[in-house]
Amino acid sequence: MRTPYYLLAIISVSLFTSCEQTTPPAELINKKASLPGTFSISDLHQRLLSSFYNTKDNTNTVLYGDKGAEAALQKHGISASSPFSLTLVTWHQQEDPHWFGARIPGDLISVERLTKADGDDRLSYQKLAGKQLIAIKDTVGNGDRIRFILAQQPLIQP
Amino acid sequence: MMKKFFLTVGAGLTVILLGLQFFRPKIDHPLLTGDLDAPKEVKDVFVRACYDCHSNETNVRWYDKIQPVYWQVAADVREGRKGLNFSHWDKLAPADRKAKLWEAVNQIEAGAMPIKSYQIVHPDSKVSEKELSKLKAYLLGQLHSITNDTAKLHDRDKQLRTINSEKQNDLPVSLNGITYIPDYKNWQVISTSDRFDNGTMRVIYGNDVAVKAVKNGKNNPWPDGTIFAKAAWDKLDDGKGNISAGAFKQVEFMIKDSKKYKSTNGWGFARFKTPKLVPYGKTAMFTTECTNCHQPMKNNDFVFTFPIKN
Repeated sequence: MRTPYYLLAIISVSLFTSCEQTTPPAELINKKASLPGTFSISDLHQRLLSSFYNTKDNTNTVLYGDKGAEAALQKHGISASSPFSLTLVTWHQQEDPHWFGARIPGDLISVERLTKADGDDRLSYQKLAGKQLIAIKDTVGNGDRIRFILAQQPLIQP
Repeated sequence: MMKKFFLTVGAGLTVILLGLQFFRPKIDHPLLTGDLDAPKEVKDVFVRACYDCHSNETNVRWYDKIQPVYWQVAADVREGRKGLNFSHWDKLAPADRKAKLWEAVNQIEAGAMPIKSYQIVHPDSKVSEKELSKLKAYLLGQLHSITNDTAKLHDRDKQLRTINSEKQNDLPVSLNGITYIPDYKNWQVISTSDRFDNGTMRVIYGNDVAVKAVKNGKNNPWPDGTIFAKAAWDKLDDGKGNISAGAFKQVEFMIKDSKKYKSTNGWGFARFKTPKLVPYGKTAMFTTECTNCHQPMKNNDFVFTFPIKN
């Protein structure tokens, strides 16, 4: 009489163990590329303006900006009166573990911010680097970076 | 008492099984119009692992013909040929052929293909690591440089000139009833994807529900109300290592509603192509392509993207 119960138990255990488990949510977050808690892009409420890669450095970059920034890039220049804010985030690339044929953001390299206040001609450039986004005080090369950021073309977004 | 019970059940099952053998589903072998063209060592792997279901050269063994298994075999062949049929390779555009091969190799790598039930009965269909490496090397060898591609530059310039005149008054609707969501451009970027397999670059946007789910670790399964948008552009290579975005290709949406989209794994899929935002597909059944391709991600709520917490 007990045999069917044993059989049932064995079948249920084997079925249970053979079922694939859902992946824990934390394993599906791209931790390498995630920003530290000290800096939140999403809280800036800027929109994506451009995205590009550098195959020599193996990096990938996205450029965010507010409405003023979008106008500044479209006009390929900045007018003295309009304020804007641009944010450039750069990562090393890594192979996409889910798709052979794709690369996705890997280790976070830097966040650069370029802002212009209302009625002020001066541009303010700030660079935060490394996984913890530590502020960089060295100003060498800042001019080149400002020109580079302002030279980016916005994406075609119908 | 117990013995008699088992004997009766056993005899009954035998009669049913014998009776079932008289029901024979049909697996036909239509003429081949154009076969996969690849080096022998690559093609041999595809033939061995895929051709029983993904070609007209289905080889049904005697043990496949035992009912009720035969019904499943016939259904697998029918579905398999519908998704990808190597016997009609000539019917696919060159870009689609390439895309199908990359998808096939990804399905093999993810362990989704050949399907488990087929592999158990046909152990020789298993693709070894060495064979998978061969397939990957073949695909990588097929890639060509995109440096200063004048056709792509031309496409971008043309779009820049015409983009404003192509603005739609009415929002397009996909064949499965999903209305284009223009607001995705204001959403947060949750990842990017450099697709060197097809020469495009992609940005994956998430709506507020998606961004919050990532922050709170509620991303498997994704909550109802989550929407992803994935936009694609040509890649332009200036030959100095700088890759920028060219012409806009398409935007795809995945909308999570576990009840409404139950038949497509809880996600509503839509794709709008070119700046004219032309809905993709010939019938509402285009979603089969979406669910087939996303099937290897079944343990990850059918989502490929690794979101960035930002």
